[in-house]
Amino acid sequence: MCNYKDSNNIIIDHLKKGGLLESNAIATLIKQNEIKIIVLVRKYNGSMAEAQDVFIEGITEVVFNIKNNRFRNDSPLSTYLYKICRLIWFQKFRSKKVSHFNQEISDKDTLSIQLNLEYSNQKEVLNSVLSQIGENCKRVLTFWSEGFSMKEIQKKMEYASAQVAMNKKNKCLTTLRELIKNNTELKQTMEELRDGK
Amino acid sequence: MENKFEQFLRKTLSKEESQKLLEDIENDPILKKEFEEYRDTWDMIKVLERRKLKEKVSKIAKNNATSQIKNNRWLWYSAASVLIMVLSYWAFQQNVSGEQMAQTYFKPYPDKYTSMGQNVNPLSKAMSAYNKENYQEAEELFSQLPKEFLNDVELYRGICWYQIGEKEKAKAIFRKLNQDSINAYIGPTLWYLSITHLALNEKDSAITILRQIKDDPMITFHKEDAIEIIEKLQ
Repeated sequence: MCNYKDSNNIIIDHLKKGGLLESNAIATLIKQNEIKIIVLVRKYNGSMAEAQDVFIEGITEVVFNIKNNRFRNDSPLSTYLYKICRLIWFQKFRSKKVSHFNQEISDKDTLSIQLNLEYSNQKEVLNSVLSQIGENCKRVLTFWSEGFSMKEIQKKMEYASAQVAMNKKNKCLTTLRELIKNNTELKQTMEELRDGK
Repeated sequence: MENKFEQFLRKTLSKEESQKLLEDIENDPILKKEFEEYRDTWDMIKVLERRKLKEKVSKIAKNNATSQIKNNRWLWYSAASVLIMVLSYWAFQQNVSGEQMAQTYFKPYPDKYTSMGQNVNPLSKAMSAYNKENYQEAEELFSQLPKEFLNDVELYRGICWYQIGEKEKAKAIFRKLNQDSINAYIGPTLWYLSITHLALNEKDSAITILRQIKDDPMITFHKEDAIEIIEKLQ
């Protein structure tokens, strides 16, 4: 096994376990890579604030992809983060200023549909849809998405039982599904982003 | 079926199961529609998860930066403390070495009056206090002497001030004596002035005067000591 895989695996394991281990792993990623990414963005005339934003977005994307099994573990995490940040900078930040920079990027690593949605012209629609389900629904669905069991969600949300938590989750899921179903533009954007258009 | 969709999207299905599900979806338009709706909803929920994660990352990054600033601050504080300690030690060493040197070489000027039989009454009382090392009392008695004695006892008064710890007063007296053309105690005056400079850590001034002692063939008082101190100071 390559050395980078060993160190990757420790971080990946901690990120997936969640809690304090996850926080420590994130802190490690931040400490080890912040300067590199800031230098990268500054090299392409990005401001310090933009560099910080790209870095936070990049770390989030990497952790999110790892937790959702999108990272293939075929390179050191720092290299993966660098590529992701480069994509974020050129596709999401720099592209706003100079469109031709988009052409510079072509690689097998892609950004998540969630990140793409955040930077799409459908962001307002996205926010509007999410706001319609209410805060409790958002929390329940997020816990469920993160992989918490119904028992754990019951405790976190202080519901009477795990069954109540399950019912609430199902209800919220149906509500959100209906909202999206009725929003053709948002559906289309998601489809396009999935196809990489 | 939703359970299967969830497992598929969580990537917890086996390769075979995933393949089978995808085939079913492709062959069943109703299932396909159902799956697409579920996937859209799933991706939307993942937006919530990602936003929460981003918040967490931002918080950790902020904490990191703060602790780094704090660490840097502590580093600077530590460095500053070490520097202050080093400077203080250096300053202390400077003081100590000057003072120590003065202490090593200082000896009160011997009583030339009463020991030579000049037991003049008002003077003897003051000299007696001086010989008994009661310098405070001696200085008071010296200062009360009639005018004609004052010039003669100035050197002793300077030594009294020196011993009391009033080095600046001692220095003023020795300086004044040094400028006095009829001063009979040139050698001792220069010597005690140089020692006082040393005690005050005024090394350059001390060296200048010690060189005078060294270079003046007429001065013999503590000449060897003067040479020795110059060497040590240089």
